[in-house]
Order: sequence, then structure tokens, then C-alpha cells
Amino acid sequence: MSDISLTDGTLTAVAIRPDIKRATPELWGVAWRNITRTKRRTWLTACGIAFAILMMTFVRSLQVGAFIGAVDNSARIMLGHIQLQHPVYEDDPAIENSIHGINDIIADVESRPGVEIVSARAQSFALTSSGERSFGAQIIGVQYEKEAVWSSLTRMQVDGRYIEGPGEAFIGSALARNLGITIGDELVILGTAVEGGVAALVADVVGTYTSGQPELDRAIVQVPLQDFQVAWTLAPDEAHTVIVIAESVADSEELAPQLGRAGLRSLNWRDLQPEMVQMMEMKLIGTYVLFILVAIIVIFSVVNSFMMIIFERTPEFGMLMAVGMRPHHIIIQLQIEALLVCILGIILGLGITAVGVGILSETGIALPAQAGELLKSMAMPERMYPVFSFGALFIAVPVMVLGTQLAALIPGLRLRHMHAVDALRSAE
Amino acid sequence: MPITLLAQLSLRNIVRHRRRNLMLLMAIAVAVLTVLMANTVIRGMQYDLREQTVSNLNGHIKVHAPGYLDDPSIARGFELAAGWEPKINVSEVEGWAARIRIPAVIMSERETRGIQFVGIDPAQESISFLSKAHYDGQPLNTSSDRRIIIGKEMADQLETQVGRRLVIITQGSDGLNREAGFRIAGVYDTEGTAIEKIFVFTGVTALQNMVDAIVVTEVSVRLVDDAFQLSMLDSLLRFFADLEVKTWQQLEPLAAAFFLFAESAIYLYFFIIMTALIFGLVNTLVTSVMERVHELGMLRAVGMRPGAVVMQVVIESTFIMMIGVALGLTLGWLIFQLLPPVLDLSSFSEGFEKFGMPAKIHLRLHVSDMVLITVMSMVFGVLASLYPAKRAVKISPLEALRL
Repeated sequence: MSDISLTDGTLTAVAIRPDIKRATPELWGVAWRNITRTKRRTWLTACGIAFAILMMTFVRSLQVGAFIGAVDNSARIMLGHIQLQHPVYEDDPAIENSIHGINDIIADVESRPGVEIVSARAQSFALTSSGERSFGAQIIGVQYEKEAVWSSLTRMQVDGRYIEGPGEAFIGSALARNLGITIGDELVILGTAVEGGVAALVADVVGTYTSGQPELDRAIVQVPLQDFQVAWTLAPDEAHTVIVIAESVADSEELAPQLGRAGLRSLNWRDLQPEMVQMMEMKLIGTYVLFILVAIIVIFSVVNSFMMIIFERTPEFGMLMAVGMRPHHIIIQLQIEALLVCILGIILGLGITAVGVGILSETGIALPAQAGELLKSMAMPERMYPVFSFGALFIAVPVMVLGTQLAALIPGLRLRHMHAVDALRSAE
Repeated sequence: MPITLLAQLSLRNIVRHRRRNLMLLMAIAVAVLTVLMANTVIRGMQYDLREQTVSNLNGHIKVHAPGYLDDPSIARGFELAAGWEPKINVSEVEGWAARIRIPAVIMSERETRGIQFVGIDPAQESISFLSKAHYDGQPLNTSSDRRIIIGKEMADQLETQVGRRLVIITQGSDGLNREAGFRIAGVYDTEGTAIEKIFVFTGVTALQNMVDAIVVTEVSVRLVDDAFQLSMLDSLLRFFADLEVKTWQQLEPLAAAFFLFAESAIYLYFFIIMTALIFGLVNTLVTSVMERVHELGMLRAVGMRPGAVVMQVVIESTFIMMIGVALGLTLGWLIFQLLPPVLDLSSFSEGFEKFGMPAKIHLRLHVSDMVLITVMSMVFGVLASLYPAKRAVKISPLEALRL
């Protein structure tokens, strides 16, 4: 096709196309030679791109790791990964909104893969008193043999011990202090049972815990589930929530939708820890903003870099044009060079992230002890394990590829109107 | 070689490559602008948090009877004579407030909740959030007002409203429980729901009558400026020698930790943004050195000392940085003037409130931070010029001229 006379203007465009196709593999080779020719500049530019990629993927990996750690930790204190409840219990936690047949439900859920342990709870707000003092508190009837296995609350700075049999109570240290109660004292609990009856329970305080979260330490009393069922006149297979502990947060996300059914609402960790979800979203937005700003600054430096490249190589471009290369070929070649530098940066950035996250996800990062109080209040575990964030990867890589392409194109467009003679003359 | 001559040379080199350096200047300006904007948000959050902590009944400094913090009961109250306000550091004080704060249980027809029952003198509460809250109904009138005001969140939980009666049970000074009915005068609405769930207010004299003790459990002082906190603490420790005197930082260690953490966040942002910038800066400087191999070789041949070569590159880098920083700061300042003074994040507010942070951020721009950014950027500029300068010194006059 290229032997068609190029004097006919309408045919020019058609004539060029196969020309580009033929030339493209060579353009890649030349582009590679060009970027290796100025090693220092290539590496500095690639390092900038790598930093932007690293910033995004590594920081997100740390954040995702920290959040999954905090969600898991929080779940294992008291909330569980999944809770099964009466459909309206979450909005109206009244004593009547209970679920029946908990033993069958527990047996069914426990048999599923990815489930670690399942236990039931009944709960109600009541007045707790000791001697002359009274305070309001959330009374939770627990299957204590099971809670002792999974709930880390039972091991948090405990004075005394956890519940081991009927007639015992395990309470928050702030509540104990407010009630003026010490271990071995009797706690009187008065609440409202089903259908307005009086629920009365006397229990021996066998232990207190300090979680560092004021709302847990100030207002929670745990008693055995059977004691609760008798006092609040619930049936022996009746409770308010079935708590599911999954093997991991990821497992729980798969499990949660499978467990709900008519008359049984399944709440996953997002429902149970909404403030954690919002914190996560806020952090995500914050990191995106920071990444975009870092990307803009890096892209400026890529524009700069290509301005220097074009300035330096103008005589060379003139020569190429003199022997028949068209301006758009040169632009394409520069775009390929930009792509290669970008790929180099991406490999470097992702490589460092992969190695860093790979090592740290095995060893974990010890969180600073000085921040103990702060981290405890956010339910952070003592060690943090980063989790590679593919979400960050899918954002960072396209942004940087498009950004560098644009960055190379801006100074490159000047070449459209360049004439071989002027370009060659600029060498003098 | 005189420094003015070096500076002149550097400046000329910058002007020579206008387009390239303009690009670099823009990158620096964007970086500085970004750091400054992040700074106004972080500073805003930091100071809002302090303001909120201080106005949440803490004051800058608070006085309790010994043991009250562990056992907050009326038995840990103390007496105050009429005209008790200490006449110390008067010009530094915005106001004093004496209160009773004791745990209690509140009951509506439908629900029961644990609360902090607080007796106040409404005239003194200009120093706390109560003066800024929005009310449905009315606030309390006097210290002998026998009605109560409750938080909006509490009203929702108790399914009650203004004008209804609620029963409150609390412990009297003899250790026995007192139970009394109170009419709701008003429902207060504050930023965040944490306070609204906990505090119920009535007149301090009314509460004293209920518990049979003419005492208070706390005295708060709010200062005109945070800077007076140390000297005031010192004076109060002597004035209330028998009592426990604590700062808001001691009472709310979590908020204090966040306040300090914000300082490091400012540096963190600076380093991330500046690191992104430094690659481009080094790149441009090295190129500008390599382009001038001939020129630098010539200068060396006619007797320019290596130190002067280094100086020239450092000055060039510092110049570019200085102009970029000035541009960024000016732009940042202008944008700050155009922005609304309050950034509203209420769509994310639950996440904020979990950690006691307000949903609205009052943006703050500190001149000291602008100075800090300028100084740190200059240091970065000098650091970025070290490698290019080293490269420049390596140029041997003979080789350079032979090229």
C-alpha cells in the first residue's frame, strides 16, 4: 500500500498506518535503548513513580491489616464476628424479641466450615445493687464454658477469676468500684422479666475485668445463661443472640449471609461495628487524597523530565525526521519510553511493597507501647499484620500509567510542528 | 568568590531554563500547598478536640475531693463557702463553675438508663458546652430550678420529650437511695451523641436538697488562654491544698494523646509529600549540572574553587525552593481565606464521635506552621542539592574543556 503515490492528500493517512505497524517493534527497542542511555534520569523518574505506588499500596496494606486486626480483636472481646438475632432485636432490644431453639441453631452453625465456636447470650438492662448502692447495668447471660474459650474479655486484667458455675457473676472493674464491691461480695440484680414480671437474681462476684473501654468496664455484668433464663422467665432454649466466632474476618464475611433465614437476622461485623466501617472509609478517602497529591507532584516531575529529554534530543529528532520519520512517530516513541519508565517504577514500587508486606505479614509489627492506652481504646491488637491491598494496586497502577502518559504527551505535543531543519540547527 | 556573584550565577541559570523550572516551581508550590492545607485540617481537628474536651465539663483544670475519681459518690463531696471563687490570676480566668456530678439511674415509662446526674448553677455554665448547645424547650433558669434537661439522644432512648416527667434514683449522703420525679424543661443537642447519652442536668441547690448535703463534687475553671494552664495549676495546687487538682490532660488522657499525636501527623504529611517532590528536584538539578559541564569546567579552569561550585548548586536549589515555597504559601493562604471556616464532615460523624472527635472541623492556619514549613522545605532543598553538587565537583576542568 505504501507504494501508492503520496501526492494524493486523501491517501496520506491510509498510507502511514501500515508504516507505523511495521515500525512499532523497532520503536520499543529504540525506546528501551534511550531510557538506558540516561540511566540516572530514568532511575530518578522511576523512583518517583515507585514512591507514589509504594505510598499507596504499602500504606493501604498497613491500614487494611490494622483494621482487620482491630475488627477481629474487637469481635473477640465481646461482639463476635456474626450475631444471629430476632429480626427486630437490633432496633428494639426488648426482652420479648428473643429467639427459640438456640441449641439446634448452635449445632447447625458449628457444623459449617470456617466456624470456630458458637455461643448464645440473653441480655437485659437492670438495676444492680450491693449494700446501699445501686447502678444500672447491662446483664448478660452467657454460656460461660464457651465464652471462657473465645472471649478475650474473660482474660483482660482480671482480678479473681471468670465464671465457673451457677450463681456467679463477672463484672466490669469500674462498676465494681462504683458499687463498692469486692470479690466474694453478693450482687443483687433487679430487672423487668417477660410480660412485665420482676426478674430478681443474686450472684456472687467472682471476678472483675478492666478492658480499657469505659463503656464495657462501667456497665456490664455477666452471669450464667441458665441463671438469666430462670430469673427473666425465658425458656431453656431461648436467648437473644447467637454469637458466631469465625476462623477469620474473611471467613465471617462468607458465612454471614448463609446464616440468616426467616425469623433469624444475621448481622455481620459491619453491622456490629459500624463506627469501624466508617473509620475505615474515612482513612480510605484520606489515603486516596494523599495518593492523588503525591501522584500529581510525581507527574509534574515526569513532565519536567520529558521536557529535558526533548530539549536534549531535539537535534537527534531533527536527524530522524530528515531521514523520513514523522513527528507522530517520535511522539509515539516518547510515549513508549514513558511507559517503560513507568513500568520500571511500578515494578520497583510493587516489589518493595510485596517484599515488605510479605515479611511483615509473617513477623507482624509490634505497636509502640507508649500508645497503649490509645490503641486499647480502639481495640487494636498488640501486633499488627499488614494485608496486601489489591484495591490499592488497581487504583495506583492505572493512575500512574495514565499520569505518565499524559506527562510525556504534554511536552511531546510541541514536536508536531517541529521541522527537521530547525531541529538540526538547534544543535549548533 | 563573593556570594553575591554566586547568587547571580545561580539566578541566571534558573532564568535560562524558564519552562523547565516553571514546571518544577509548580510541583513545589503544589507540594507546599498540599502540606499547608493538610496542616489546617489537622490543626483544626487538634484544637477542636481540645476545645471539646475542655468544654465537656472539664474546664482547663478541675478540682475534686481525693478519691472522687475512683468512687464518684456524694460522700466524696466538699463544702464551698459563699464567694468561694479564688481571687488568683483573675485576668487569666474566663469563669468558674461548681457542680455536683453523681451516678444515677433514670427511668421513663418505657426504658431505664444509667446516667451522670449533674447539679449546676446555670449562670456559671457559660464556660461549658451547655452555653452553646441548642435546646428544644428551655435551659435551666437558676441553681434552684427543680426541672431537668436531658440530651437529645437520651430523650430518643427513653422515648420521652419536653414537659414529661422522669424518675431518677440516686444515692443520698447517708448512703440510702433517693427517688424523685423531675419534669423535663428542655432537651439539649450538641455536636456528637456521646455527651447526650450520659449527662442529665438540674439545679445544684435542687440536687443538694435531694441528696441532703450542701456540698459540691467538682470545681472547674476555664482559662482565657491555654498558655495560662501551668501557672494556674500551680496556684490552685496551693489554694485547694486538701483537694485533688487535675488538668484536662490528666482527666482525659485519650484526648491528650490525640492532641500530641496530631503534632507528629503534621510532620508525617510533610515528609511524604516532600519525598515525592525530591526525585523531581534532584533530577532537574543534576540535568542542569550536566548541561553545564563545559561552563563549570571552564570556571574551574580559571580558578573557581570546588567549594564555590557546590555553593552555586546549593544556592540554585535553595532559590527554586524559596520561590516555590513562597508561591505555595501565598496560594494556600488565599485558598484558606476563600474556604468556609468550618469543614462539615457530619456524613462521617459516627466514626469521629467514636473517638470523641467533633464532626465539624474549624480550619486553622498558624503562622508558626507556615514558618515551620518554610524552614523544613529549605532544609529539604539543600539536601536535594547535595548529590547534584557532588556530581558538579567531580567535573574535571581538563576533560570538560576537551569535550
